[in-house]
Amino acid sequence: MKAFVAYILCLFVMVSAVAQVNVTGTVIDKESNEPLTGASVIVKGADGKIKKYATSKADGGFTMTLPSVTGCRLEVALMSFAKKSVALDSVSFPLTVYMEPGAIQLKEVAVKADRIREQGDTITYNVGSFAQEQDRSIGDVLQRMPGINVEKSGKIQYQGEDINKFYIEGSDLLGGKYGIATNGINHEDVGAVEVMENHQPMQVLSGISFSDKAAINLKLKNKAKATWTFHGDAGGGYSWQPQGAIWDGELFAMAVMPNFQNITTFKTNNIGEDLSAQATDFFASRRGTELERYVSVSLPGVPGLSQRRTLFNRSALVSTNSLWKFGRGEFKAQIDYSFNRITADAANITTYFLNDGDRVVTENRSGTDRSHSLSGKFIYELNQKTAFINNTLKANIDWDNLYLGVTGSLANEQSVSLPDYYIGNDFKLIKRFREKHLVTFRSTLEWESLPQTLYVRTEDNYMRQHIGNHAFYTNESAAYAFSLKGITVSLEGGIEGYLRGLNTQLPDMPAEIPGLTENVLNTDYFTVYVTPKFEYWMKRVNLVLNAPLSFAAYHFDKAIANRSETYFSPSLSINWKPNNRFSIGLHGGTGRSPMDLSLIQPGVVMTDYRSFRRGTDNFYNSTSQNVSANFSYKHTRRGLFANAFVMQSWSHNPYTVAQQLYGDYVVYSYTSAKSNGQMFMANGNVGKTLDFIRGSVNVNGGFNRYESHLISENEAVSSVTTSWSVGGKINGTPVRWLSFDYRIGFSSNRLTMNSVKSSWLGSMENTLLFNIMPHKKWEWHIRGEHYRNELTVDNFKNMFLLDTKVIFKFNKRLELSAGLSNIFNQRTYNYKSYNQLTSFESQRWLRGREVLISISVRK
Amino acid sequence: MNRSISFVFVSAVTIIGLAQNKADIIVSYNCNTPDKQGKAVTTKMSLLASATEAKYFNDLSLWVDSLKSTPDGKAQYMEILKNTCMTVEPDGSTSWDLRKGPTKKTYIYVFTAPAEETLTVYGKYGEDLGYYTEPIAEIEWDINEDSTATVLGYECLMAESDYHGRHWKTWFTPEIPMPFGPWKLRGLPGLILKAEADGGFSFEATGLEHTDRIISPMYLREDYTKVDRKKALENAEYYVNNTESILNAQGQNVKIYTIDDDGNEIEVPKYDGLKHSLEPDYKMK
Repeated sequence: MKAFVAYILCLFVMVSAVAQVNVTGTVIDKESNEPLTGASVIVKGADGKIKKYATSKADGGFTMTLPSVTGCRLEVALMSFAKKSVALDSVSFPLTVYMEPGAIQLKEVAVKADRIREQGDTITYNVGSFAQEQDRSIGDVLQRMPGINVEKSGKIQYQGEDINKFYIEGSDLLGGKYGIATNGINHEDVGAVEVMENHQPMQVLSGISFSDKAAINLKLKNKAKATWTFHGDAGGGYSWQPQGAIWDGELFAMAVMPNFQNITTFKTNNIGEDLSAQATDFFASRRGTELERYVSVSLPGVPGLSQRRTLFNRSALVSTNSLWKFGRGEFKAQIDYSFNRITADAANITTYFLNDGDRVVTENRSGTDRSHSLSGKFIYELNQKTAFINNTLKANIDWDNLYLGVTGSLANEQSVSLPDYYIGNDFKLIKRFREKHLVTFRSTLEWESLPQTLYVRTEDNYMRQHIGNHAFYTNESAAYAFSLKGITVSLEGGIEGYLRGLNTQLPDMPAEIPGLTENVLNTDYFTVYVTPKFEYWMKRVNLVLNAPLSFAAYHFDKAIANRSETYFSPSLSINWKPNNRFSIGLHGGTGRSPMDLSLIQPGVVMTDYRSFRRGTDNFYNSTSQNVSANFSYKHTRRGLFANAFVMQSWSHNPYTVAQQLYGDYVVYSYTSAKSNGQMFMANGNVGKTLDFIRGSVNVNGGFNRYESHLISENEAVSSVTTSWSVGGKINGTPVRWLSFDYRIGFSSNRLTMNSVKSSWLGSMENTLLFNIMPHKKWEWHIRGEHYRNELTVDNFKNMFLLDTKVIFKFNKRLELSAGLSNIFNQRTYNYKSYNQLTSFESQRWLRGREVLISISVRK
Repeated sequence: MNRSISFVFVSAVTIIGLAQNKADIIVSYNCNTPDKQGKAVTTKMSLLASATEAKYFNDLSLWVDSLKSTPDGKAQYMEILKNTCMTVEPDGSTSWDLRKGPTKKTYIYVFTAPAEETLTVYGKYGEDLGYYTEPIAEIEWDINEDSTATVLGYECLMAESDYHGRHWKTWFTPEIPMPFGPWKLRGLPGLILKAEADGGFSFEATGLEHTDRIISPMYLREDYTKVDRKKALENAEYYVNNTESILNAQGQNVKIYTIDDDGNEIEVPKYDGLKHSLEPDYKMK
């Protein structure tokens, strides 16, 4: 019996030693009563450590075996459900765990598609990975993409070279006016920015003619395609200087359809943004009419400070651009109107450096400039592999009226009327046949009239300068080219005709100044030219030799003697791309060219209240040479882009500028004298993505040296201007609630005259923007600008400006913002600068504190 | 009649629509493996995951496969390849450099389905496309809660296991209760954000976001045949090390070589599963 008891006891002990608890159960959705698959089921011990775990199966069930569950808890978790925790001490199995909806808060770290990808000659930048919360337009984001540089004017460069096309979904809607797109298109509508290297826009030339330029294409997101997108902003507020109401508004509409594109925008503001710059045509070539403004009265500006701080404006811009595709061609119409009213005030002290002592003129200036500009462009284009046709008709009318009052040593009032009327037509036809033969016809016709009137009223005098200036230009040419095994030889022949009339009248002139006061003359020419061109293009090397030769006959209608001239200006370019990462280019040219015909002017023309200009009564030719080299490197996977450019040029003129003072008046004229100038320029740029903060960094530097000779007060003066600059910018989003954008620039320059060196004067500019996003719906910008300008040696002018803005986003379509700029209400800014023969000290006015409340709506 | 056809069509679309599983999150991983020269190679991979399934893939490969799965897309893809890889020399001849274009370099896809308790792996073994399945529960993890790490801001616990010939240390976060991870690593009570094995093999999450992308089923599924994993891996190794003779036996005349840093032609180093494969167990008898 004892033995039996012992046996039973023993058995019992053994059983309890191997006794296990089966933790089983089912996970159920409390709302739908359905089993939940994939839930994480964990048994945690009394110490909080994981003892066992499982995943719920298709029927919601789970099974785990544990030696004991004393003090244990069961935790069940599943995305989109609230976590459930059950003490296991007093429950029986199988358990049923009911899950209730609830979100699991994710700490999101952006999942990046590659920020920059490279496929063949196309570099694709992922817009989302470069955009920051404070960005609005695609232009804001382009500035952050390494390799791409957006200049202050809005002009875009890629690896140091201006782009040659700007496409939206592969269509060239805006031509060179792409500022309308970069300033208007919301970056959230753009999926990617593509850069097409070595882009040849004319398909007919592909494989025959090399291009070292790149084009940009905006790839829109699907939501912005085949529909109209709109957005609008309206803001109003108050400014402390100029005192009064301020406004800023924009309406933007875009349609990107398969056969139709349109961008229409209306903008207006008086908060310091010059809108006419946004409709600038960056691809415009110089007008063949080559008319110049003799009158040069302009409002005082403030170099070195951002325009947003210094421009007292009322501006409006309307632009509508359409593109229709029909058949194989397309028709484009672009119409722009802009209005600008700018006021400016300044106090200036100008010192003329003269060999017998300096002369000082002081003045206070106050003026208003009202300008209107209306332009239209109508283009038909057929761009195919065997044929290219483009006809562009363009017309432009400007009205510019300026008033400037000056008080000081020479008190006066000036008012200027500068209208400009222009019309031109360009036609180009290229036909490719039998693969290797090309025939090109080009025709250009242009007419322009640029009348100028300047009224000057001084205490005891009244002067009126009127200038009639108009020109007609035509250029007709035909070319033939054939291409064989990478070698293209072409010959272009054509004629140029130019008729220009100048009529200037200055009835009253200060008695001190000698000379005629009237010019009536024509400067006409007729040119016959041939341009042989040789292009070798094999694999990765391209070589182009251009050798234009022309014969020109000049007629000056007895004002000066007629001339016949021959010009030859050969140039050579070599481009080598050893692999996809490097590109090296060399360029050299030499040539002889006629002088600027607007310098032919025997009589005196008043250009402003104290400057007069007398041209030459002789015809001159000048010669010049230039060599340049550029280099670029990219490693897209690492997001690294670098480029460098070096150029040296020489010019030799048989005439030189002379400056003569008569009392308080200055007369600039041209005299026969050998005058040589030379220029050296070097700059470089390195950009890199910073993936760990979703940002990028950029460093740039430049050096310039310009040497020239002129005659001042009958003495030869040689002057050398040397300047250098370095700058950097960095931006990023290190944590989800904060992004920053920092820029620094330092520049310094020195003027040396007749080997007398003045001191280096430097200036520094810092801009830092923080954007704090405490919540999805809120944004808070803090932006500081610091300027440190050296007025004289070791005498620095410091200026610190601070802005802030709070934005509340109701949803993706509607947001409200309140901004306060120039919080410290800084109202004035002083600076000193040099030009060739003068020093200039000035006090300028800034835009004061401003409050602006805005609402933004998007569709 | 028309109406009933459109009804059927609408129903079919609805059913397909329902069958599509929306992901909750997307995770990007850097996958590091040694190449044949012993250099570390990083491949970017993604994991789309919902509560009930996960798909591990390479984004570019997914894009290529999705394009190639329809005739229109296939034509579009060829056009893209032509534009990016084909160079027309000025003399009219053409040359192709496939390295410049968007071509598929990573073949693996891993689908994990807890409801079926299996995962399915698609890949390319030698010249052949194949797939196999594995029970999820095959990996038995030892959790060591004393060893923690922070990845992307998530507190992670360490778990270890031997798996197919390598000893893996992984870090998973219970904050994201999903039994998934990079490659075939799975079955922990939280998402695996980091993993390491001797020999230079590792995975690390580089991004994690909410997403509403669809977890699309395998594209071109019919091109894959069922394989035995170890045999397939053996075949793959044989193919890599004997490509030249295999191609020559097929009647082509090729010479395969590689270029070293000094530009010299050298023999292609041999692939050795023990050193180069994530799962060398097929070489261990």
